Amino acid sequence: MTEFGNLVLSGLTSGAIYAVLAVCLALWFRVANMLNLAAGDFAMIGALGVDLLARVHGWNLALAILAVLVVIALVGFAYDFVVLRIAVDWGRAQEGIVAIFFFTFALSFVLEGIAQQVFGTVVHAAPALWPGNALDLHGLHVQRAGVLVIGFAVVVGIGLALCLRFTLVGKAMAACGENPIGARIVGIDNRRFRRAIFVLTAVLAGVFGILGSPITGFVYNSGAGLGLSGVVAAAFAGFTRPGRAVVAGLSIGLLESFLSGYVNTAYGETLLYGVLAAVMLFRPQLMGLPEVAQ
Amino acid sequence: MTFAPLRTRRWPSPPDPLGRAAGPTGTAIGVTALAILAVVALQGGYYGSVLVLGIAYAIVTVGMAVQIGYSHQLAFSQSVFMGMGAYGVALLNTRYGWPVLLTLPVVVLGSGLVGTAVGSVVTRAPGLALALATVLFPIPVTTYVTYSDYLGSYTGIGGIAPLWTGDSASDSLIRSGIAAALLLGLCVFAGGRILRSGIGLELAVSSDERSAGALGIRTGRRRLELFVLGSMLAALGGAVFAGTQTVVSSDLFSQVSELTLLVMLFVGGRRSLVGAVVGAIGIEYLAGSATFINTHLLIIEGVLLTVVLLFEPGGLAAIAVGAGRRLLGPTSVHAGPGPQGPVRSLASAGLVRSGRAEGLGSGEDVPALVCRGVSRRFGGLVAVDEVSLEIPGRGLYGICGPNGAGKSTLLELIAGGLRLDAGQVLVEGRDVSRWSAAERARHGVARTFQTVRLIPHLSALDNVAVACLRSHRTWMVEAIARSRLEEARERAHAALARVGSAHLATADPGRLTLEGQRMVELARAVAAGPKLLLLDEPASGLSGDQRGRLRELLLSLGTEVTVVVVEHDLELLASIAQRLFVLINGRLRFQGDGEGFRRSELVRSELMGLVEGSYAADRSR
Repeated sequence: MTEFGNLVLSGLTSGAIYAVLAVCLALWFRVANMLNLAAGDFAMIGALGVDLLARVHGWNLALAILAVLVVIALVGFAYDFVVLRIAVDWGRAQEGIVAIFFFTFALSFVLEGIAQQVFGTVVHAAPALWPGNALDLHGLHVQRAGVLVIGFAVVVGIGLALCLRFTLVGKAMAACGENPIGARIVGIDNRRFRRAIFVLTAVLAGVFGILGSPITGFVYNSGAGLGLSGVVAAAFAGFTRPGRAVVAGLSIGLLESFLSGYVNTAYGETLLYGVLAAVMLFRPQLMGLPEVAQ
Repeated sequence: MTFAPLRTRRWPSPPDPLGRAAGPTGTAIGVTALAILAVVALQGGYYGSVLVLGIAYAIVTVGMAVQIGYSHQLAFSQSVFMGMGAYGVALLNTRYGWPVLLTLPVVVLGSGLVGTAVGSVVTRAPGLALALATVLFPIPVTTYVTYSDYLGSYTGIGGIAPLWTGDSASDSLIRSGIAAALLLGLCVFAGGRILRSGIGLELAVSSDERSAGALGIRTGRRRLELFVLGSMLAALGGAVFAGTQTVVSSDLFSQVSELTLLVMLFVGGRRSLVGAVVGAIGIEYLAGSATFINTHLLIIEGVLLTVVLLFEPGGLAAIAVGAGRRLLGPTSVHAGPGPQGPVRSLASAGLVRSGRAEGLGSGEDVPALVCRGVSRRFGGLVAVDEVSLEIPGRGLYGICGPNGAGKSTLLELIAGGLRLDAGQVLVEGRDVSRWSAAERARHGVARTFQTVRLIPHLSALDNVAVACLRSHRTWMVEAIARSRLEEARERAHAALARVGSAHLATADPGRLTLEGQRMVELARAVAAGPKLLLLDEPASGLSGDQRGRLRELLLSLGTEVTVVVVEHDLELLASIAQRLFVLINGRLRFQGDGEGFRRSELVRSELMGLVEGSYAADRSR
């Protein structure tokens, strides 16, 4: 029973990581019809940035976090202002599938290159926000950072899902992705939405990096792998539904945990990807993927 | 949901203008010669080894240019196949003592088999699912390799013999580099031949599933063949990598190396074989240079990729061609995309009435088209309700009815664009009810669409030529050996002439008037010499004069082939069709000749609204 409980906990923890990234991806895809493959890199900048300022330069922790989040927001804004504005607003559109993947993929390269220069190539983590040893609840091993990440994922996911469903802003946001031209005609400024959501999801990813880094640890190139996990989880939410993305992320985490716990430790990940790929190939309709002009 | 920008500017992205100017043979010889020269000039030093590494990657990116650049088949599995090739060579050479050159064909064929097995599953998935599912490949494979002692776990396998052993290390490198350059040339040649053959045209069309189906292109098989081709070239690249670097490790399989390959392809120019080669060697050179560039490589790659995506989707290749054209002035190289060789003399084919059409509809005793109890519903709506009709043979037949009567749905059911819920469709006696649109097209059913569907970046001639390609029936291997593109273009020219639009051959269909576009689409439909020609509202949007010309054309087509026209212009239909069918609310309510049609009470009330009230009465029924 204890083993089961611990597997559930570790599954939920890694699932929450997928979930947060999936939420960020799904939210922005909903507005911009592009995947933000750089979301993982914003998380990396959050963790390593706070580490650099607080640990190396001895800043006050709260101040360091604030400064790093501001930097992330500025980077997101600048990227949108320069690259996405030219890409989308100037009509330099690529074939759908290329646009979906490659713009932010290039951003990911740049961010990792810069991080390599600024943060070096050693694994670090931001100082824990809830310091102390892992909690022990009747034999269950609970990581404090894990609790924070799971809580963050659930709050953000549910909050955004509610916002999308019940507020006018949420509806307008959805409209931007569904039909950009139609949205503009009825007076929705989809450029501003795209920019705002890009900055928002970058900051959310950064917050996640700061919260979760004691679990994962970060190095300059951790972002790409994280981003891809997020893509996979978001795919099971049809790329557009933040609420479902949280569920998908948590489920994938649990599945991974059970596969490595009960089936095979070494190949848990392999089995997981086998299952996910099989679903994608044989039951793509389950995921509700959007149709993409190739 | 599609990516719909507010303003889309059509980019005249020139696919491999360099390659087109030189031809596949010239390009391949040029690439090989330059690569060999460079290998020899660098004397087997450090940059020599960087260049050879670049050549190995270039072999992979050439395959990617064909697979990703031309067919838009975005698969992220290249690094896995590259690793497979490299490890195959490493194992066979170090464990079993095979000479490296001998391992190449084994490794490439083996990867081809694996590629066929994997591809027959993954290429069935729609575009985005294919990309996502293949994104995952590298992870389990990397894990497996790092856990496997047989495969050397973390350290990989070292001590592989060079591709071509020489007297010293540097001599071996030069010789291996020459061998690699020759293999690269071979790949460029094969890729060039494929793109120059009819398959190049098919690839351009395959992005539009409906058109591809209507033209009888086996998109499924083409997608699989391309996947296998990409896998085999990736494995060859990996094999060359193993045979020149003499060490392989699991990094090869990783997503990072996949992403690097994609950057090479995109920066070099994803629609250009030469660009793919330049991209691979260029990026490898940057990575190998022990300077500022190397330490900032990620940033440089990211910025290059962004710039290419933003300003020139054709990559460095297109930039170079653009600059060259500006310097040298206009040359004989056309900017229009698609493989576009010169059109040979048309005298022989030009005036012949579209070939096979002459002899078609021959078996007059077998009706050209029979529909028996054909039905189709959409949810609760019965769009076509047990329609039975028979069309005996050659001639013009009209289907009309009010909006929403099910005319276009019936046409789709006959053409195979939609599946039947019940009933049978027989074309010249063959029951085609269960056939796909492509199979029906190959059986001689040709069609046009209500809204014209032409391929934007191809010339009008090539749009028509796609329909005449016999390569639908051939394997890709045959396309490399022998291209029938010129033959198809000649037939296409004849078809354009047949509909009186030979002058449009070189036009970009996006710039034609609606009439021009409809004529090109009509030419595409008659070009293959169909048994049954289905036209969906050919007159809509045309002016009176244009309708007059269309009328003459339809009348003359009707003497050669069975033509079924769905149309709102009742006067036009009544004056030319030998038999008319009236659909109302999905049911066949009238059939008869033009005279009976004009006199029919039903037609007068339902279609012309001459008796008030009956329309509403019919609705409430």
